[in-house]
Amino acid sequence: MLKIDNLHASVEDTQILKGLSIEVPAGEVHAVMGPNGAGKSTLSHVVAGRDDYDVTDGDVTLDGENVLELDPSERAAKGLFLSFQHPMEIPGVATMNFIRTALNAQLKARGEAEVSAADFLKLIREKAKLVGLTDEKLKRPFNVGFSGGEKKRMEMLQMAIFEPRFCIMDETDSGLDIDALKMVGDVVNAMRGPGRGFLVITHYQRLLEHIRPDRVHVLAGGRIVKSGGPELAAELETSGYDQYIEAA
Amino acid sequence: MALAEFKNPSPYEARLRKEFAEGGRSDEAVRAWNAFAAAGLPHRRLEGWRWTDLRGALAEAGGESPAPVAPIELDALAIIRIENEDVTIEGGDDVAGLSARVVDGPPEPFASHAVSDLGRAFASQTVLIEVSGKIEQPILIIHRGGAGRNGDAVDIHVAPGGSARIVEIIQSAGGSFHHVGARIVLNESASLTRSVIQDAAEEAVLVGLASATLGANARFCQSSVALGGKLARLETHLKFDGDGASASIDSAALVSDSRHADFTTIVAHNAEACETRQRHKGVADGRGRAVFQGKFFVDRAGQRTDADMQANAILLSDGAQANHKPELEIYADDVECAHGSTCGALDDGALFYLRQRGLDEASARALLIEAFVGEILDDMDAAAAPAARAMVENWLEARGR
Repeated sequence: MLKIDNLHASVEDTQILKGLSIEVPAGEVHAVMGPNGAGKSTLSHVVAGRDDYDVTDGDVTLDGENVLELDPSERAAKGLFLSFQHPMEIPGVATMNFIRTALNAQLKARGEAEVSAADFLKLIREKAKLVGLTDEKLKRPFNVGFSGGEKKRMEMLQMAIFEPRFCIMDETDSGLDIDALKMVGDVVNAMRGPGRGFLVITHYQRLLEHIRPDRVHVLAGGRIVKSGGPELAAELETSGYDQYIEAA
Repeated sequence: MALAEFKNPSPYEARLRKEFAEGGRSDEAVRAWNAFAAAGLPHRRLEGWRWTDLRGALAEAGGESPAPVAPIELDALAIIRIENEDVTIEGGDDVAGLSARVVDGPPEPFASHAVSDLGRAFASQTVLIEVSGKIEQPILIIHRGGAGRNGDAVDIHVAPGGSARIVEIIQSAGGSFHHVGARIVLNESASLTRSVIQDAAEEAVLVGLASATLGANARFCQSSVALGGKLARLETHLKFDGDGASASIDSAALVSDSRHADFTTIVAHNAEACETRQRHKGVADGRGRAVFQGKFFVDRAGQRTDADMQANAILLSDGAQANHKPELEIYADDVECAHGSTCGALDDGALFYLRQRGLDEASARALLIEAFVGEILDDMDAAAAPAARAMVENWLEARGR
């Protein structure tokens, strides 16, 4: 499904990713764990297509198709979704209108029928209940005045609505309370299944108590330094990242 | 009565003089002309016009085949059309508390202002709108200026306790010089909502001057959206004469190519406990220029003034410009006055976010621009907002949305 091969990326002449490789087969959930500054957010932004980074070497393919050649919106239409670590507040943009515009842009790009206003309203209400966002929040300008946790709920709402093929979750657990963590776990567990993959980027093991990953990778110094089963997450929780930082 | 000469006339000033001298003019018109001739057309060496060089812009104006502008029409209780200085009034004659008619002669002078003097010199008639009741439906004034010089004059009086909604659409053809004057008097506890939609051909030169005087507890809400022109300036002078009055002044400018839009306001707090809220949003693309000059003057008598001015601009290209001059001049000691000014590009982070959600770059940019000016459009009178919104959408469409 998602294959990242020998990825090198830099920002303003600073090399951040130095030959990173991960392969997530369809139907699997992989976790990427690592210390601050390891390159976790760079990884998510480069795969999603942010312009600020230069990819100097390597490939990223989704079901065999090179995504590095594509515009961020084209990657989104192919089913690549990024749940942002710091979601934007966009004053003046009506939430429901924006999410529907985005959904229809993706559908249109794939040559699928767009959703009507009535169908969309039904859909967003159903999913909003799932992520714990009230109607009142949906009526506000996008994320304006939202707490950190509410912004993450808004990310999960979009993930649930867009039904992407591949989801990258960039520290979705940061700033979440216990109930919200459980909600994120519920959304992911409901969506995981054949034909869909997840890359869950996190510092801590706590989210992985709700989402049991198939594989865990340790990212340090811009590359994967160790991979293992779910038990690796628990091991990191007790041993810390120091040994990997030194190794990197 | 003798006609004064310009000290050093530009070709356009000489042309104006010829036009003026050829008409049969009243003494009052000649007095106004002489005041205008003493100053001449405002130019960039004057502080208030340094970014908006009217004399320079008119040096080449006056093409013989003006580019027309597609008319904007709205539903209204009464429609007053001023097309190449010809006035027609439709509807409103049987509405209690409303009188709209044409009267001979120029409007009252409102300030020492060269363009006001010019307008008064040429105005042989004034549209007088008198409101004595609460008029719920909007009154529409369409100013259309064709080839050459066109001057419109409107006087609006709202009696104590009266209220009205005015929508003014100003459309100026290419190659023309269009000057539009509006004098507004709001008596005690009167209220007026004034929405201005400025659309013009790329080669049009326009100066819109408005003065508003507010009596005690009066309320004035003005919201304007402008696309600029070769040079377009909407200038508002607001004066608080009675205590406890309030005003909001919103403006949005979207300028592309080498268009120029200037919003200049001077608010004089001459009475106690008056409130002003002012917001300006400028968007400049291509080599466009968005100018904002805002001044709050608080007289000694303006104790407990509460005034806030915010001007924000977004530059979409390397050649685009925004010039902001917020000014406070305060002589009272118990006041709250604030101003803020920002200028920048579209937020890269927000753009990436929207693109990651599936919007192509042009749509993402358009959405952010729409959101930026949306604050002004959202609060605009419902009578004018759809037309203003459509104008903004067309503007975005033309930018490759």
